[in-house]
Amino acid sequence: MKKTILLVEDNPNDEALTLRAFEKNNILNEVVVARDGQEAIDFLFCEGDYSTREKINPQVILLDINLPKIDGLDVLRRLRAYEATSLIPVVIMTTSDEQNDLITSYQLGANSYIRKPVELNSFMDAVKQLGMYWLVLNEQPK
Amino acid sequence: MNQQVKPLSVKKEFQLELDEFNSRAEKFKLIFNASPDMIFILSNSGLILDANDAAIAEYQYSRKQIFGMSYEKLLTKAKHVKSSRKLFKSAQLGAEIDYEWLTQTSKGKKIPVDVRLRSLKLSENDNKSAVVLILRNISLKQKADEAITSLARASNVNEFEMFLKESVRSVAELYGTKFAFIGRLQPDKKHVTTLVVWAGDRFVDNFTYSLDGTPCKDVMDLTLELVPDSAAERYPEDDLLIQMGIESYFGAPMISDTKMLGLISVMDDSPLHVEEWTSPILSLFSNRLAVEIERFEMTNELQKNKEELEEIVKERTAKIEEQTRLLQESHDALEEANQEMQSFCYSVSHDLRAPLRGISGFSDVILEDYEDKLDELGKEYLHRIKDSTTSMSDLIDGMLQLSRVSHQEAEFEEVDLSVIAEEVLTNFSSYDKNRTVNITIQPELICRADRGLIIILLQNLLGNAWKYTHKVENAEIEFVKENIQGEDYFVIKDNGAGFDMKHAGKLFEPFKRLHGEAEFPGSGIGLATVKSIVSTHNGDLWASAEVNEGAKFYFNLKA
Repeated sequence: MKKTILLVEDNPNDEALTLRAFEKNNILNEVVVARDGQEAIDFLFCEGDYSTREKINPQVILLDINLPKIDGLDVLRRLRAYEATSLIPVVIMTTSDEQNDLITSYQLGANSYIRKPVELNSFMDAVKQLGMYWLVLNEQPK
Repeated sequence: MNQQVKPLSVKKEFQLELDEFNSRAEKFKLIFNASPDMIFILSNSGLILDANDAAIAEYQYSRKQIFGMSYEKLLTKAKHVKSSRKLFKSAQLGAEIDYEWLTQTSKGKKIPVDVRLRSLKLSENDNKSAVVLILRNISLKQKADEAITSLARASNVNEFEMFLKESVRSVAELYGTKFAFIGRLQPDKKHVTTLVVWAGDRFVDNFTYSLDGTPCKDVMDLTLELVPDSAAERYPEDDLLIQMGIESYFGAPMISDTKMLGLISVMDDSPLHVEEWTSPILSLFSNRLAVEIERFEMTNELQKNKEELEEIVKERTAKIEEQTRLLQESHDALEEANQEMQSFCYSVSHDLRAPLRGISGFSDVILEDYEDKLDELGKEYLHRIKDSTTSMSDLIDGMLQLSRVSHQEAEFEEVDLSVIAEEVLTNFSSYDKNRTVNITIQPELICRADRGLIIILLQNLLGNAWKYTHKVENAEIEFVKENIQGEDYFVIKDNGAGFDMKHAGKLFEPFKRLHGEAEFPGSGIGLATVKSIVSTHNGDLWASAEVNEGAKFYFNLKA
């Protein structure tokens, strides 16, 4: 089974660094990058540009909060509202360490919340642990 | 008895007795004439045989006119005459008659009287008898009764003005005058302003007049003034009196506790008689009015004072409300500014951090992926870039923390500061394993505080102590409680770099630093944050230090 990672990230630097971190940590799964909330929704619900894609949920979603068009928390809210997407593991990965954002994320059913570290090594560690946990260790309901 | 009538035909043998009687009669005569009551001796047919001095004077007949006149002429109405005849008969038969009549003088003046009719035996032997008629003038009593009744009626009126009106109308009625008024003396003592004026059939508008040359002026000199006729002529300067064609004027002063309040007067365009009751009844009214007017004015004064007070209170209240409103407005504006500040900080933390991550991240990428292509200087520069991003990141974190600490609602509880200090310092040593720091923490430093804020406070103060002892051998950090001038303070002491006290003023200002970045890195926000937390707890904070002798930070929390 294909274990796709959906990376929802509008910042090209963060995208490049994240992709590099996956690579360096030997996480070789296919990574789909959505650059705003709308694109993420389209991918998840196979709409718009993704209307022809095979209906398979990603293994994990790395979701930024501050996104153009539709923000990350809205994306989370929507995908938790539909049965088909309600169980996809979602890791909030954001610059924000606002308590409100954190609490809202968990209330909306985020599985994990990681603050993007400025320091690359910590960021690499975070991505590595993320990959290990959600892609390798975590058993999802079939 | 009366000499002219000579009713006694006396036999000689009784001469002695008659002499004796006459001598008695002389005495009797004296009493007879001295009586203030009016006494008539009537024949059995009702003719006046004798009348005493009082009777003659009151009814204004000459002696010649009154002797032989029927008593019935004293009565005013035919029906009274008729009923009096029956009474007269009864009296002749020995009944004691007590009654009331309305009589009149020869001039037609009415006199209400108490009546006594008694049979009088003139001698034991010949059964001759006469009737004694004794009259007592009760006009004063009657007027007083009327006056008291009308005053009582006026007093039943709740409203002061109605009381005055009732009084003035009653007075006019009692005196049978066309005009009556009550006047209030003005503060200048030269003018009177009427409080109520009755003009025969209606109340007329009040007016103010000058006392000069008026009968009222004489009244004001504390006397009753009774002018039964020719009033306008007697007071030629009183235009009003002349205009109204006033003939008679009675006035009484209204005095309360020697304070002259004004007067009550009755006036008429025809002459009036001065009667027994004229003065006392007017005084009765004026005294009563004085009491009422003074009471009313005092009540008014009190009410006015009360209203003035209420007005002052109202004004003050309005001012306070206005100030409260202004305060609320500036509070709202501040609140709004705070909100903006917070959202500004939020976006700053995001928007600044993202490019920072890029700079730092790609520096790392270069260091890792192109290590072999860089010389040592190139690598050093890249490290400097990375270090700069780290300081900037710390700065952003510090700013965010300061902003949050300033705006956060504190929740106070019992907090053990010793335990938190222990944890904070343990955490520092775990990151900085090469250092040995001698740590002393007084146990159970317990205080009411916001736990989250206290953690930040101790992280900052102990963090400074940790940082500035970095270059000292045998580094020491102490956290204790000390009593200074009666107040307890928590003290964090170190033996580190310290600072020069002449710069201490800048210590707690944001972004002010007393050490160079190269010497001791820092954002300059930590102590500003500490200060904000201490003031959230209503506490005091200060520091004392010496260069290279360490620093002491004192604070207390009064949450």
